[in-house]
Amino acid sequence: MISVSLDSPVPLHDQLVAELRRLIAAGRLAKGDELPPVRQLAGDLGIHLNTVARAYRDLADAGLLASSRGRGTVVIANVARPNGRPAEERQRIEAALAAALTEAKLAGLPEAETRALLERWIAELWDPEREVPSRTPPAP
Amino acid sequence: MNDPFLAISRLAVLVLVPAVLLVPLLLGLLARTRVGSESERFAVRARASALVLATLAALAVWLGSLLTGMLGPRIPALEWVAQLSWLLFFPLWFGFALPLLQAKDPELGPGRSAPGGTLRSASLSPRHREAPIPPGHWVAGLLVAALFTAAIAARGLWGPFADDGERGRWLVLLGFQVATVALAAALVPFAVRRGLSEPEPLDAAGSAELGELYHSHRHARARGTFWVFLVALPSAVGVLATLAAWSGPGIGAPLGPAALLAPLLAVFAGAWFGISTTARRYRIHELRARLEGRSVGGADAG
Repeated sequence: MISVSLDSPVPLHDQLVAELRRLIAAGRLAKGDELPPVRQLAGDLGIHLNTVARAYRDLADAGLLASSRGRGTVVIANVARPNGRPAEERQRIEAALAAALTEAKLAGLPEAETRALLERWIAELWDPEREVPSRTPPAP
Repeated sequence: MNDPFLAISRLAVLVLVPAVLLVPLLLGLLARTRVGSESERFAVRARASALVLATLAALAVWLGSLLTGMLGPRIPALEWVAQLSWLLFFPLWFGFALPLLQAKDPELGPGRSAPGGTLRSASLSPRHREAPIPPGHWVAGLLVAALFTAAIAARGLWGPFADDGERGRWLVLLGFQVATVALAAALVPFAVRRGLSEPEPLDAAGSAELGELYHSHRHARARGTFWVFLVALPSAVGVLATLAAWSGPGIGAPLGPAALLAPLLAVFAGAWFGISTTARRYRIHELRARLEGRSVGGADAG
């Protein structure tokens, strides 16, 4: 299942991309899984066709999805055997983490709460079978 | 001489036809009103009045043609009108009853599947890959249609036609049957597939109960579409065309009632399909409203 919020300041397209990336990273969408057609997902969520189409296209450009006639849109990313280069990505990821934690500090979020948020997301992505408390839709 | 088939035919016209014509009125008036504003209630009253007047007009057509065609001066053309007046069910249902139902509950109108809340959820299963109709059923349905077509075509091999008019009628019937089967074979798979992709907005928590209700609804609708539009209606046309192709002096009496009952049964099947589909949609909308904690407006009967 996928969820988006119309009240969120994050654009719907960004929410969709972030949600699908999260599901793929958590292994809930495995390599070979077929996603619903653009028309079906857009109709179910009550959003524009182009929003869903653009999200699928962006994820295909990122190497996570592939679309073809007859087969539809399928997940091609293999979380069990990622093709990425974590060592080279480490600097970029550390910078993104630092920026997010800086925002939390500036917003006055207590350390314990910040730590709990981090641990919850780590659990959700690395151990998706564990029950985690409900959360707000993620930022891109 | 008593003709039992004629009695069956008359009974059908006297009882079944008015019953069919009253179904849209009963369903329209008995449905609950779920709107609250004065303008919406005014629209409901206006559409209800239109449905009542249209039903009275349809019943007047039936009764008038019945009295003059069958019981009065016996005008054959009016007798046909009385027998075929059940066809008025379709304009009554689609032209008057459905708009009334949609006025009473706007969620049944265009955009009826639009999600209600600001937190939207959806399943990630590609529904168009589902196969609610087994392959064997498709083959069986097309086989039945092919058999009727063969039965009509066989008339051309049976013996000489009485005249060019009879041959022309046979060709028209054969062409009509072939066209009906071809259209059904081309459109029904497409309609089934499109129906599987109809929007199914979930509640924010993605309730399993709602998901299961959607599942049973779309499969029932797919099966109904198949049985009504690929089997029942082409078979009704096949029965009519076969009987007309083979009818002649001495075999007209029993064929008349059969030619009335076959399409009548097909219409009942179609009506049941439409009404049960609408009823399932009602249950889905009620469940969604309950899960989303939404108000459903002033709930008055009628």
